[in-house]
Amino acid sequence: MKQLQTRMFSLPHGMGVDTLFKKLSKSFVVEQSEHEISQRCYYDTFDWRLHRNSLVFFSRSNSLHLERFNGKQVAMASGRRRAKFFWWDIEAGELNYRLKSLIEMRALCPIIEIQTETSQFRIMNHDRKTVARLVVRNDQLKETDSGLPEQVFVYEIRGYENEFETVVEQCRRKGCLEVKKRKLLERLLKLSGLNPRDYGDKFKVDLEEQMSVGAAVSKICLSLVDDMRTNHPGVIADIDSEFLHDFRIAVRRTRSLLSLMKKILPTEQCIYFQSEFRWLGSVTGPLRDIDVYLLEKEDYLNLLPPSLKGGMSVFFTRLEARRAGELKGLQFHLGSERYDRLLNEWCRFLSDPDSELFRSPRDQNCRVYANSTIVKRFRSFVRAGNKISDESVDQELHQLRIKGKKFRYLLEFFKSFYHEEQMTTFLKFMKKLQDNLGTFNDLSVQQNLLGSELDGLRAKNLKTIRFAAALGGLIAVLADKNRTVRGEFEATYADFTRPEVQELLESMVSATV
Amino acid sequence: MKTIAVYSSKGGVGKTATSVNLSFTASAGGERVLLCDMDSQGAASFYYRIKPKKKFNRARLLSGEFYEFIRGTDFPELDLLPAHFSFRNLDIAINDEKKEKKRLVLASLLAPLADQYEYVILDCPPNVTVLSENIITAADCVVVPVVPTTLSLLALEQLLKLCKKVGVKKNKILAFFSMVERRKLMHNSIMNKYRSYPIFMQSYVPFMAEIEKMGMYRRPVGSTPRKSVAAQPYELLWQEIKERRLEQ
Repeated sequence: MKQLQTRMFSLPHGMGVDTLFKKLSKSFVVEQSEHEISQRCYYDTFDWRLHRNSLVFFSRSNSLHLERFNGKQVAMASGRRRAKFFWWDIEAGELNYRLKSLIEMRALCPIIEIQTETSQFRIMNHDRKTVARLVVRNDQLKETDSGLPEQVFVYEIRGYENEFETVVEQCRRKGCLEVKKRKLLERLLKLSGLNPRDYGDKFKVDLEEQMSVGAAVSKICLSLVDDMRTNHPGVIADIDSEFLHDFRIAVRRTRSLLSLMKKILPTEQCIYFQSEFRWLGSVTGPLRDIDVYLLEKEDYLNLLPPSLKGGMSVFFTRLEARRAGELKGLQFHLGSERYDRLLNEWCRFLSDPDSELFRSPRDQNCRVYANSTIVKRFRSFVRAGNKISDESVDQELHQLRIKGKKFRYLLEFFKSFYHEEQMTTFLKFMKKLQDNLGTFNDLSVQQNLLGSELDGLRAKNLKTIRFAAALGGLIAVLADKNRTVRGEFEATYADFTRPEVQELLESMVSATV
Repeated sequence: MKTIAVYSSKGGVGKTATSVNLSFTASAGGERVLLCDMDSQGAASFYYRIKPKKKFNRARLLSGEFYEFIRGTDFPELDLLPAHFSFRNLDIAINDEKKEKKRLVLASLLAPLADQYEYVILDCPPNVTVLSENIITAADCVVVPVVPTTLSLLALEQLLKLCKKVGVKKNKILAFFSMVERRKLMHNSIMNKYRSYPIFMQSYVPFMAEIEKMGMYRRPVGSTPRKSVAAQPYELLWQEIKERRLEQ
């Protein structure tokens, strides 16, 4: 059967809907059926995860909706407007399930709030049979005077195609402009001056071919400062765990750059900033460590048999209490004079034209410098990797992981100098190896933490004994997993050091863009 | 898709009022419903203010090319296939079909609608013809309005005979008392006698002026802005039909 049509129109500026009805009433009887005023609040994560998937989430009176950009509903649930939503705040069902994979640990925060006034009209023939429906809609941004032009929606009723076409034609004749795609949120964002996808998880800095080392370092590091400043309010307000995560990534990237380029950067300043960013890394670390455990709570519990799950709840309750204390400490550090001074001095160093950063030898061409540094770092990484054998201790693998991470950051800093496709392929090879090393490291760290928790226990009561049993169970499972991951290292590393991968890197650095 | 035929060989028992109100009640729950007006008088179409398109007729219906003639009612989930005057000879046309196909004409016409509607409700004409055989074969449930009078009960008996002849299980049939006037002794005594029979539903529809006035207002009783009390018996009836036959 034929799909029923809907047409959307924008009323011309200054024209009221009455003018249109006057025209329509020559052929039809027009009667208002319903009138409604509703509030809507649109949400997205800080990194626009829903927008990136062409989805819209909003609350309307007592319900929550997930829709596509074209207005087609994906899922809904009951719930009222609130300051933020995690997926677990929404009742179990389709919406909760969809959001879990879309937004993961991120919070949905309000982006736009509107008041919508809709009036429904029945367009009837002389028998007073409804032959088309018409909805007039008025969207206003809350707490402002601005709104979208009044919109008219015409809905077809099955079997009344001619009448529908007549109504559409009369709308056109009255100067109504047809709106092809719905994209209501896009128009509201534009109206409110918000720029969607202004923040993302991918690091991207465009460097010019002729840039000096100093200018490139300045551009890269100022972009990282920007990331820190953007995430800072979210960390302080403790909106979700990813603000701190992204903040720490920006700090880690900065530290990697200082360490990777220490030979070319002015020694005194480099040592000073390395030490200050190390401090920033250390004060943000404890809270992140706790977040990692809390985020993996479900996975941890799933590793245990039902009889031991209860024991672990003590651990998580204690972690949550500890988190509150760590957050206070972090809020203090990120509001401190030392933090402000660090960022101010760092920005001055990066942008002051008289800064040491722009003097010789940092005035040399950055692309040439990047080529040789990338090759050197790659060789150094491979040399370290070749030394790993079955007898190597865990620490050696951790060192290799850190070396690999720095090398990946280096590639990402200078990504824009190179052929995009080649770089993406090389980074994919790199990621596979790093995933193996990263998982190995995570499992080791987790075992150590659980081990130290176990060491600190005194068997005072049954609760503690149950907790100890759960910890023991987890450590055993993690150790087993660790062995498997360690066993996979050799094959993963061999795959990365294939001649093709090396050739890919060489061809990439020798090519001109 | 489930097909519900509202049928009785006796006229004036409230078939059309039942079809119109049941289809409205069913669609008000958000499920897609098609009401087929099989009676050439076109009373159900009249109640919904729908006229057939000019090109529609019996031949179009029987050729299977009738989807474009389905029309939307004033209610979002409810469509209607209007009746046409030429439907008066529908049974004759069906009779011309080959013997082995004769009773399956309607069932095969409705089958392609399965992905469009949850329920198809047939408002049937009052007769016992090959069309009636088609109706009881195609339906998942045959709803029979019975006025608590002897003649109406005879019509039910006749339907049971027809089921036997056609080879349709009797449990498809669900009867209910229609146009009940509690002040009438005969209505009370017939209801008391037959209500406990498994073929009868517990819900019944009283005789109400508001149902009669549907012809004036041309809309189902449940669709008025302040919902009429006359809508309630149909809601209960629909609930019982669903529980007893459709949700099995």
